[in-house]
Amino acid sequence: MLERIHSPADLRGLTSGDLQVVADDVRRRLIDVCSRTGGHIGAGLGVVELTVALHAIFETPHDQLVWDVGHQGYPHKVLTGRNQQMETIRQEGGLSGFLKRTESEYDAFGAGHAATSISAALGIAAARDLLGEAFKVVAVIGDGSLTSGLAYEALNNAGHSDRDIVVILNDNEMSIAPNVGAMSKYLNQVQRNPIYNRVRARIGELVEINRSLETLVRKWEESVKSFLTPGVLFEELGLRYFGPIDGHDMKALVETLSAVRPMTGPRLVHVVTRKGHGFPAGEHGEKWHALPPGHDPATGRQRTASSANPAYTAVFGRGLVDLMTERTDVVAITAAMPSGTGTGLVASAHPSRFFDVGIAEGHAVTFAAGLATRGLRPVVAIYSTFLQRAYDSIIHDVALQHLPVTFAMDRAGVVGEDGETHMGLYDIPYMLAVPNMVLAAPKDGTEMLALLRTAVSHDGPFAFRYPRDAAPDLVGPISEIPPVPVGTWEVLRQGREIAILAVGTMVRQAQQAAESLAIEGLDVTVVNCRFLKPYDEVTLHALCAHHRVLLTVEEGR
Amino acid sequence: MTNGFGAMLSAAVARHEPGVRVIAHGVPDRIVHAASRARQLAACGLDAEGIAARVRSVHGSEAMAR
Ligand SMILES: Cc1ncc(C[n+]2csc(CCOP(=O)(O)OP(=O)(O)O)c2C)c(N)n1
Repeated sequence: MLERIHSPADLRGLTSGDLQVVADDVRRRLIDVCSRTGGHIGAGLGVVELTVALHAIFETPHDQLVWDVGHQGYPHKVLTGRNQQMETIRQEGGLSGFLKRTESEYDAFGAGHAATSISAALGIAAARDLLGEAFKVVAVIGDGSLTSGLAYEALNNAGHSDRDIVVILNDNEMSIAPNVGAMSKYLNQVQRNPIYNRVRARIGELVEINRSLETLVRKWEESVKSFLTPGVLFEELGLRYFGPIDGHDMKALVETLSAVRPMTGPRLVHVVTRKGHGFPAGEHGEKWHALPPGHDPATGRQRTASSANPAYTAVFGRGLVDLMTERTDVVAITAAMPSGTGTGLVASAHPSRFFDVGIAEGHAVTFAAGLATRGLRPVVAIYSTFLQRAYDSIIHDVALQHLPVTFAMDRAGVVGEDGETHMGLYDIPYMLAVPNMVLAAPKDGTEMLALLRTAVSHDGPFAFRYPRDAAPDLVGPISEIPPVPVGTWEVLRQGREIAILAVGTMVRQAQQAAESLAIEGLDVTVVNCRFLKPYDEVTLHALCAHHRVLLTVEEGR
Repeated sequence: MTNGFGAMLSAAVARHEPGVRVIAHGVPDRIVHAASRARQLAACGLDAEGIAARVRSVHGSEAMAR
């Protein structure tokens, strides 16, 4: 059936039964192609039916479909003329693993970072109204992304606006890890608890706790209201609520979307899906979030496992766990990425000192600042690219108050297949500009742990960056790794005329370069500039006395 | 290169040691698209070979200037 679908127009007019056949084909295709290419398969598998139904009911690309994050866009790509190119996904010159306006007219808005879809869709709707155009605008957002403040800023704006906009809440109870927070709990309740039981339980609870009749009546009214509209929270925000509907039931999707499309005003459709739905190795939301190239769909395992050293992330996670055993004042914070940052290890080893705050990088940093005011030593582990979200919190809440917060910036530098939305190329300039900030970059895993140890004893903000890569060394326990004096460099090779001042990952490359240059008779100095700020003035002065040229090398700009 | 470590050091050295040149080598001011990390680094001249090449060209131009 899929071979007959050249564009979403071919879906229109098909029966729900036929659309389900298409969906089954899309799912098979994704499982097959991703087994070779790898990539974010879990989220896509969860929205196969939803994607088919959206394109069948909405007149894309005239109607504007805005996805969030974009990692769930694989079925969308398959249906919008890119099926043949799926083999190239996440590769050089191939399809992006996320969404890109330059890639297709069906990609109404680029995506990569979470929680942008409602804001972008509202902007598109406002432009439509201003320019007197006529089309529908749909924003898809995951429940995980509803932990981000940006989504609420957009909902707050949209609910008040009266604009014709449809928000699809794709609720699979998962972020990358199981979703966290009060909103997640609320959605869970809407989804799970048979409402009748909930109301009954509420009464029992009330009779026990609230003796006053007045409160009892008020609470009762609230319960009845939520009985009538399960998504009362969204209704109160000004969005008409529809759902929850089963996101794997094509008929329900088609009926609901067909009814919702012609309406006007802000509305929200709550769709319940299962991440990784239909994956041969069994459904598992977290395990199949992303898979390596060349995996076996029957097991989810890579056919030829790599033999590299442990990644920096893993070294960091283990080091942090041990450091937190030693130092009970250290606490760890992640913004929805316990496995991605290695902090998940802390969750099991020191659960009370571990905080997953959701996809809320700004909040994570200001929350850390609050912890620091009471004498704790927070370590905030966030990818360089996502920490961009927290810039004002870094300056306003941490640096200006000179609070001792440690920023562990993973995925700094070029990040490979995720492409431009995830590049960690901006943290050097953005951190250098922050007053009071110490900025460091280790040359290997051992030095990273030395910097971690240094950071939690430093009386002020401290950031260090490390790449998405295997550590070049085998790293011992942090208990045996001493701190490094802040602001010191390390001269690794003494040469003449030209000195290479290398930062972080570039130190090894510079050493190798120096070796091959030496063979050619060019004798260069190599310095490990592990502190970018404050820099080592004494060493710099000495270098200037003996060299005519200093070549700085950094994996950033 | 825009405002990284190289730019910062360059300004500092220009102030205090005007006889010494600082050359900044890093990711150019353009979008880096998806590819393997190794390929991206090589494309930016940020592997051993790229660094060595940069040193050679710097050395060449320095020798000319002398
Ligand atoms: C600002 C930001 N922080 C973190 C991430 C990493 N990330 C990618 S997907 C994801 C979970 C998204 O969950 P949800 O919105 O529910 O979408 P689902 O994967 O369930 O479809 C996270 C945390 C990101 N893309 N952007």
